[in-house]
Amino acid sequence: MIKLKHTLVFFTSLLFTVISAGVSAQDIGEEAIAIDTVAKVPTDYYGLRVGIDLSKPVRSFLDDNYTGFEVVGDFRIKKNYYLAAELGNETKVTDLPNIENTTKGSYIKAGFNYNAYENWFGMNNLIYAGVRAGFSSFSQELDSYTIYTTNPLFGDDTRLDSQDFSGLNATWLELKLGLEVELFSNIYLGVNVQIKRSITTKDPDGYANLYIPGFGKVTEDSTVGVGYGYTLSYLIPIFKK
Amino acid sequence: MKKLFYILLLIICFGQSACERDDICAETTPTTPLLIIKFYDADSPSDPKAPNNLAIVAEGSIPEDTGFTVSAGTDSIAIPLRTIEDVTTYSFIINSQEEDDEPINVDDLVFTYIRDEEYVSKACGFRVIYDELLAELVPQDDGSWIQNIIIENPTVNDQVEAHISIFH
Repeated sequence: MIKLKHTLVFFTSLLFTVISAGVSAQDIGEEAIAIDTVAKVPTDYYGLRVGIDLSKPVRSFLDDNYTGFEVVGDFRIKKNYYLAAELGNETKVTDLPNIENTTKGSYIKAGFNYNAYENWFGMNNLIYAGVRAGFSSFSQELDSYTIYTTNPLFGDDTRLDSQDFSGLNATWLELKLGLEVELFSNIYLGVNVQIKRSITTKDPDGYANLYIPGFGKVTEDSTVGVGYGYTLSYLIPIFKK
Repeated sequence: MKKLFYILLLIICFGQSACERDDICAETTPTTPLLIIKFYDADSPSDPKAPNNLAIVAEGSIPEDTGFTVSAGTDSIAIPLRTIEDVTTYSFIINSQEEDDEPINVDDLVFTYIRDEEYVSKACGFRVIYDELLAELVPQDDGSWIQNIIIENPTVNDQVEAHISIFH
């Protein structure tokens, strides 16, 4: 699982490196082009972009302990600003030496993106930074657990009676960096990385949240979470500017 | 644009450090506590006295009836209590070595308690803590070498101090 994550992170950074290199090459030509574009033709598309996070079904297929789905959407409100939201559902089995736990739940993230990329004439790509507020509602099932002892004289004591902890929730703040590239007309491929900071969590009595849908793995002694996404989306153009 | 790229690199590095292993239970984490017993001289109750060649055998251990020997000169021991039942029985065998001059003597001790489960961490899982600890001496046919037992602390939730004193 960790290996898969590392691979994905590697490809993300590789993709960013390649595109960043391409962008620096473009910067040189920009001034020369600017002169040619005096006559303003409306080429900035405004509209609703909807899509899915491809990484989640892929991970669901590869990772037996995970199923997830996420719908993404954004709406351009100003030249460089987009309202954005993600809606998702995840089931994650956390299989540790002394605990096996299943987390199930849904989440919503809402906020906006700022596009920092100055497009070439007629292009509609994005390199953006974004902020989100996240909310997740979920339940945990403690499938099995071990009574840990330093002296194994009486053998292992593993309890298999599963316990259900429902009505849990969490909120967090998320910073996001990503890019969206228009592959074909109105079809966008995007990648993003997310860093999150937990704000509130409702923990179960006598137990803890091990995973929060949308937030990710909960690390003890830390309120930070990380994530990534590969999105495929379609822009429904509403008007041009 | 370069700036954005650097921020990205930073985030990726940060993400890596968040992957540190927290699924291995550290030895220093307080988990299910062991019962600490300290041995004293029955004739002079404030002086610790190590029992001679003490061997301890647990009933219901895995494999059956195993235990451990206590090295010479040790006046306090830490033994596990069963986490699946409210009772643990140990046989305390003094002068257990063949070369001992004194005759071998077996005393059974029956510990009873109530158990409470407590979540420790992702790595360590849960632990059991014990309360209302009682110890009953069951002398065998050979009489008893233990003369008195005092429960110092009926709540076994740490391993800082002795929970039981045995006078012999």
